[in-house]
Amino acid sequence: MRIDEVTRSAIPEASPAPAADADNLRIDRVSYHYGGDRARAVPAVDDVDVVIPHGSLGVLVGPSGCGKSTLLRLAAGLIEPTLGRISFGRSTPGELRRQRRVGFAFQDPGLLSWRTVRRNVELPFDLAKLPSAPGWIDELLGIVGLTEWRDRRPAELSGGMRQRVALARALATRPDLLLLDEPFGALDEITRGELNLELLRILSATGTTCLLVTHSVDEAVLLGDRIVVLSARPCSVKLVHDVPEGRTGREGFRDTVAFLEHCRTVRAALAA
Amino acid sequence: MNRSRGTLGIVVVLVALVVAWQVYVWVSHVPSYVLPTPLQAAQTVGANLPLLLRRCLVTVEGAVLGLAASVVLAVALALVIVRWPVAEHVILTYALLIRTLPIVGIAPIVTLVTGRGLATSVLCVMVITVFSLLVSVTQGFEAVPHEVTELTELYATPFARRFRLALLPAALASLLQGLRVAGPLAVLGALLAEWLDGFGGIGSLMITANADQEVQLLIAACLAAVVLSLLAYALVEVATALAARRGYRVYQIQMGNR
Amino acid sequence: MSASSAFPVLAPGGTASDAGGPARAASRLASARVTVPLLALCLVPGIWALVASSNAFGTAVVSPLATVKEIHSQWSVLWLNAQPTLYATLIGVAVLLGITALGALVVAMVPRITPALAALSVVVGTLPLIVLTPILSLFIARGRPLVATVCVLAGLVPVAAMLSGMARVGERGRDELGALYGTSRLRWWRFVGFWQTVPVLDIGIRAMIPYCFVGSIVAEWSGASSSFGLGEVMTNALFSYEPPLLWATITLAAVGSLALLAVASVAMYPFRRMVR
Repeated sequence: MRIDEVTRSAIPEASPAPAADADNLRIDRVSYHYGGDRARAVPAVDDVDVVIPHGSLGVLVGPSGCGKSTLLRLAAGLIEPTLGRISFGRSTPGELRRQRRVGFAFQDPGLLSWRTVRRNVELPFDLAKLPSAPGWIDELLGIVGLTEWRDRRPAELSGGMRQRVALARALATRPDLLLLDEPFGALDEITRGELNLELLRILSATGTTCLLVTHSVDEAVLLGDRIVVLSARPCSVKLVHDVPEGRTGREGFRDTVAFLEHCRTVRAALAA
Repeated sequence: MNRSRGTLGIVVVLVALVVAWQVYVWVSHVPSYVLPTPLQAAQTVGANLPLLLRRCLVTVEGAVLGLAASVVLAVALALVIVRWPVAEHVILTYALLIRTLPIVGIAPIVTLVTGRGLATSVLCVMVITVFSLLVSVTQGFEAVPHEVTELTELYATPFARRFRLALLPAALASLLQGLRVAGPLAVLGALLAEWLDGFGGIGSLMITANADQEVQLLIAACLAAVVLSLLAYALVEVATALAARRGYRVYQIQMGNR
Repeated sequence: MSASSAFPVLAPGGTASDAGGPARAASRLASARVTVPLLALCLVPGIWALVASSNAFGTAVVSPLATVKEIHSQWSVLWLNAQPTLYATLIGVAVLLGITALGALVVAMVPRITPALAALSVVVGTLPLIVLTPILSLFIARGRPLVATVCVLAGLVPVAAMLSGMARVGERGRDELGALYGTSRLRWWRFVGFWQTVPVLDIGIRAMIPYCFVGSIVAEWSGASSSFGLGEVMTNALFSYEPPLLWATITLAAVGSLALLAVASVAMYPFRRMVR
């Protein structure tokens, strides 16, 4: 399932169909309360039940502060659900994390100012005590279009470039599950659109399953194979909406009637 | 929770020091006229309480007045820096220079100039505290959110009003942080001044006790000084807690001054 | 304080084009930035000279010129006495650097002791140094060991504060990236934590040095040294009423302290550059 030839140009047509025993991300009736089980605990996630098929991109969309990021942390195994369970194939998030099969791009790129772009992308190898893979890092820098900037420091980069570095860093360990917490939230519309299409290209090339958090309906429809609309805090599922259009030709997808229809459905669910 | 843990930490460290002191006396068999036990020291404090309190009052007066003068001077200089940024390097250079001056050398000169008395304490306290206060107040003024500065420019707010509405509230956090260091330092400065010019307070009690080889009294005076410094620190902590409750952004953990 | 503005950020997309217009204004501002501080720096010695020549405070205030002359004429005595002070301070600084290195590791491995460290810095900071010397002289031989010990105690306050700051700053991000990759504390400190603490280390060491130097002089002043030392010269000058010598010693001490600061600043430069 790890595809090493990421630079190949052939991109799979149509969104991957969920196979019965594939590595689907299953969020199985998960609740999470801050402060544990006690009476004063604050509920953040309430009975969320979603499946993201293997190799597809799930988008969590909802009002800000609703607990989307908490859900992402649960999927990464950084916190344990109070109720319910999460699995990726046969593994729990904790096992997945220990096998270095999760990548996470946090809301704030959090690049280390004293490391060059290349060394920042390599950071997971240092942190996880893995042997470095220089060839792969170079390839990754090419994929995110930062080859020329590899020896610069983060302070010399624009906001969009920093997000690319953060994305490359999350992809460095060739994760099977990629979690993105509003990765392009702080960027302008144009840069954002470019990066969105780039992300789709990368995901298609690597076959990575991805769960992305956003509060932009446009971004959700443009990127998502499956959109999960969440309610305000504590977040629960309001609607699970599939976007059956394939990943090719998404450049023009925005201008189609189908796109607007999807947006309308999602927006209606959000407002309901 | 953080705060109570900090207080607990201080108590634990104090208890540990007292225990170490007691254990040292037991183990090394030093005679009590060289080093009294904590209990004996406490008894000495009890027996000399009126004297110690009277002396403490003098020291506190010098420290408080000096610290107040220091705060006023620091705020004024920081305002000059904010108003005329060219002055920043000059003022900070002098502040740095003042900090590198050995206070034990300065105090006698101050005494020669001002004579014995409160003025010496006040000046010594200022010399010792003004640098760290100036640095923190300047940092505070520079921490005014950019948007707030632009708002005051948009409404052409007069400087005095801008000082009252934007600069001072923004500087409160770092001023308190600076005071956390400067408070105990002020007590120390007043002690030094008294030690050097023999004026009234705990410091001069120390010098006479030291000269008369009255170790018990010396240690009692020392304890009084420690209590005063801890009180200064605690007062700043309380002020910080009050400020935090009123919605000001404050720093929880102390950092060394620059 | 204006360090951040001193390093222009190279923005891709280029903002170089708008440097042409206000270049002249900028150069005028730059010249003002040089001349005004220079004038102001000369101002205080000027005032000092005026006050001294006005004789308002009798012979207690010595003019800058007389001070410099005194330093020149008494140089052999001053230098003889400055050496033990400097030496004891250097020993103290070395010990404190060792404490810092060890403490930084300990704090990174066991962050739970951080509150105790902050508390220790508060308590040690409240102990009056000048009283410590006579008490410590009961246990430690007078001379260099005692001066160095008081010097270490003086520097311990900023060091403990620095360590507690380092613990806090070094942990930043460990709950996210560190947790994601299951990084051990030591590994985190080696690759991220240490580098994050460099600015704190820089400020802390620069705060420590004047404390140490002043600590040594206070120690000598209160009788910790057996014979030589700048503090010793100060007491003698005071008791035999020689204001010029006192002023000369103070000036020399300030210069020495500034020189140590400069050395520390230069020594930290590569690290500062690395993490800026």
